[in-house]
Amino acid sequence: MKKIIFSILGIAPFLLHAGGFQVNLQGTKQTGMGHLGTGFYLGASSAYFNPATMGHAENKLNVEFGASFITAKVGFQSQETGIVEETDNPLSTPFYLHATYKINDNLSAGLSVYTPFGSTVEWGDDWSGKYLIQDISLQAIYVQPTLSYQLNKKLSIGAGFVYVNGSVEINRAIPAPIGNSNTVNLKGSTNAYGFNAGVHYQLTEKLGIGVTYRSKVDMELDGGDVTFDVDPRLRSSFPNTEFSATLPLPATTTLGFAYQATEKLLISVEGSFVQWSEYKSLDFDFKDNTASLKDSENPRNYEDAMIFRVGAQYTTNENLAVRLGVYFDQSPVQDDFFNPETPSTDNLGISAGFSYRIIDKLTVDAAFLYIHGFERESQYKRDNFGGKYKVKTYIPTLGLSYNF
Amino acid sequence: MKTKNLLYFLPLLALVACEPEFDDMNYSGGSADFSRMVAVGNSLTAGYQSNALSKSGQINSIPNILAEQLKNAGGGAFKQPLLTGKAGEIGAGTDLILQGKVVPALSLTMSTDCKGKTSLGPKVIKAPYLYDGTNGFKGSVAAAGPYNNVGVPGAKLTHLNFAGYAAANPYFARFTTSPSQTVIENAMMSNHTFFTLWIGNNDVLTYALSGGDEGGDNITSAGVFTALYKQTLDSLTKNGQKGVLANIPNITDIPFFTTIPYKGAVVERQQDLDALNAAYGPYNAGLDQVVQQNPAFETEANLRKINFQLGANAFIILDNTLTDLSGNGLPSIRQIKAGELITLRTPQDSLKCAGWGTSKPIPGNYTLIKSEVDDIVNAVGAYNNIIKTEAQSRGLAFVDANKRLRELKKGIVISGISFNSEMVTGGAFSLDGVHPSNRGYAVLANDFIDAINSTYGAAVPKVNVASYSNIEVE
Repeated sequence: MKKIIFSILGIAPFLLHAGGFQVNLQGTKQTGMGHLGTGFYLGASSAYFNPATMGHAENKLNVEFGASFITAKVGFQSQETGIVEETDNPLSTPFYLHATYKINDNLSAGLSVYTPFGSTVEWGDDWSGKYLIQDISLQAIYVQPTLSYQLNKKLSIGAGFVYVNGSVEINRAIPAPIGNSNTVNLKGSTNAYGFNAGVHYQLTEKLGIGVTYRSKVDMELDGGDVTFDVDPRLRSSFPNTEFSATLPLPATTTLGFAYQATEKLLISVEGSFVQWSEYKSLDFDFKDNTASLKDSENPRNYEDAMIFRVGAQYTTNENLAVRLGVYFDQSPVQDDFFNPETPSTDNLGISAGFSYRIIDKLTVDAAFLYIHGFERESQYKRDNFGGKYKVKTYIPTLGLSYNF
Repeated sequence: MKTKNLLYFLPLLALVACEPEFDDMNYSGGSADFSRMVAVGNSLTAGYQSNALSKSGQINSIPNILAEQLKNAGGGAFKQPLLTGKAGEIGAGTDLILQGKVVPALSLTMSTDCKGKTSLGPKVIKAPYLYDGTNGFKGSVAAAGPYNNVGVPGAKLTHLNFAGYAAANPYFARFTTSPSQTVIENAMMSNHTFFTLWIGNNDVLTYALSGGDEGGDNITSAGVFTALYKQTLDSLTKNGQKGVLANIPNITDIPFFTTIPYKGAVVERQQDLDALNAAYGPYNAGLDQVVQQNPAFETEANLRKINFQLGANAFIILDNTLTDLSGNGLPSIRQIKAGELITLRTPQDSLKCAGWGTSKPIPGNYTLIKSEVDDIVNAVGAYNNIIKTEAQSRGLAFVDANKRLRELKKGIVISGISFNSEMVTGGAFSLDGVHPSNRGYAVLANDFIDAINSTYGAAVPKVNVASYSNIEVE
């Protein structure tokens, strides 16, 4: 008898930050407008959307915080077997907190904490793609101190330093030919750094233009835990060990225009260019290798993607503003590299929201975002697994704004 | 004011309340009528695995998987002669049937070899049981027939139309309605509208498994194969029935023949090397003497000379096709060559501890020498020509099982699972190294579905291979 040797194919990658799954919820007001805010100031959350506009605040201190309640359902239909399966994702609740302070007429400082990656995809332990992914969950907290400077009446600039603390957990089944419940758990956390910079220029009294650049962040994870739950006879082939892996979060450049059509109506359009082509492969380096546990290379070959947004805000009176927005978000995933751990479709986002001032300095913000993930037929060709995918996401979001 | 604005959200909520939905798949039988299917063949049709037929294996058989899928496209009930009792549970193998005993299926288990080394491998660990009426194997179930799965383990093409075959085959004896009924006659009882026929493997495999010429079994000639194959198809398509044929894989690529490497005699210590070469010195010298008397013998002498080196060496085998030099006191032995095969039936402990292949030759009934391999390969090629020609001329669906095994040899990936043709680790074969595993059968069932869909314009869903279970360690 030859020695038992199994090969562990590609281990799943660990981030849902795909074009299609980067559910941006860094400000309830902006979310109501199709998640745009590069071309104009819209509260303390502008520290994220365009730090250059922070100084446009009327008050000295502006604080906003809120949370979203994401319910995402991913559907899968195998065109070969006809099997229809669906994720059973728990409710995830990303939050944000932004505070800005006007030090003087020209200089403002801010501090933001937000969670742009708070999603979970749970396909279940025994679904047909279990050897690619069973479930993946990711929490990432961004902390961003920001400074903004008003160069003249028309031109302002701003920049923030971004500290990222991310953690991830993945479960998948191991396709060993012996036993029926062999699984691996990968778990780890890491810190990374980046920046967020913006420029804003008031072209005319009514028309503003903004440009922002969010840097690439390399999430380098070292010393993540690899825990195998395998038949005891396979233990020597799959020793518990550690892994390291690097995932690039791509740079995003955004250009936005805002037009104050009337005193009450603001209209804005935005386009983002996301340099997803940085994400070529996700490679796992295991500290201990065996004949069965080899380092794993997983091609991703993402393509750069665009996001287009249109939004409007109508201020009915001093106390109430209502908002509407729509955006189209292109998937960076090519058809032959579509892995169900990142079920990224082309997305249409439709949102509506309002802000209502309940007492003098306190405003309640609410929005609702529905994201329609267009059906696509794709496969992860290397693993010979694919079918039709479709995503529906609905996100109510609530926040409070405090201006002092 | 606030309430009024909330109303704006209502249409949005209606839009998102529903789940992601897909268009229904539309299944159909195309030009085929699946209402009554009969499956004719050998162990591969019966669902044989790990050296035995068991109830779970029968349920995992290709035609049973297929029938379940065909129900989406007009397929009817599919009745199998399921084993019951002990036979159903732990399997029925016939190695000791002449001693009145039934051998259970192989288990995957840890065992310690003659050198004290413990490893995971196939072994019969359950006790053989009596071949009598109490264990679910012996005893007729014909009354509950007719059966749709007429797969008879061990059956050759030459057996299908052979009256009296039941007396020689306990698997067929269970469900034949009379001792003189042929397998085909039994199959025809279902009044089938559709059939599968995968036959011919044993017409060459039985010869190969028993070590070729030394095993006492013959390869069915291409001429006989052609005549019988046509006759069988004439019966099965008597009323214009449609069906699917499968061809014969290159059996020399199955793990039964590839697991023990030809260069398996490993010599690690210099003293062992010296002793071995010294022991064969007189044999080599004797060959030189024969050459001196008969220079024409030089080629064979060079082939026969034995020389060991440190590291991996070709095993020594007994080869009865060599010139008989027993008169000179020289045995008919030589080292095995690349491309010649050693069967998995070779006792492992004899190789490891009793000097088989090094100080003693491996007997010929455990090896396939080049002439035997050639005969096997040629037979498979001839059968496959016949099968393909018949499929084409009769407009029947055709499964290229031969191509599937060639692909498997290189490795295939399905839903993230890697398969290859290695023993146990490859995932596709059961523990006997001859028959597929649960997943291997599922892959083949999908090949049958592909062939049916493409030939008859049918749309029959395939099965999810990942949902079929693996071997568990016992």
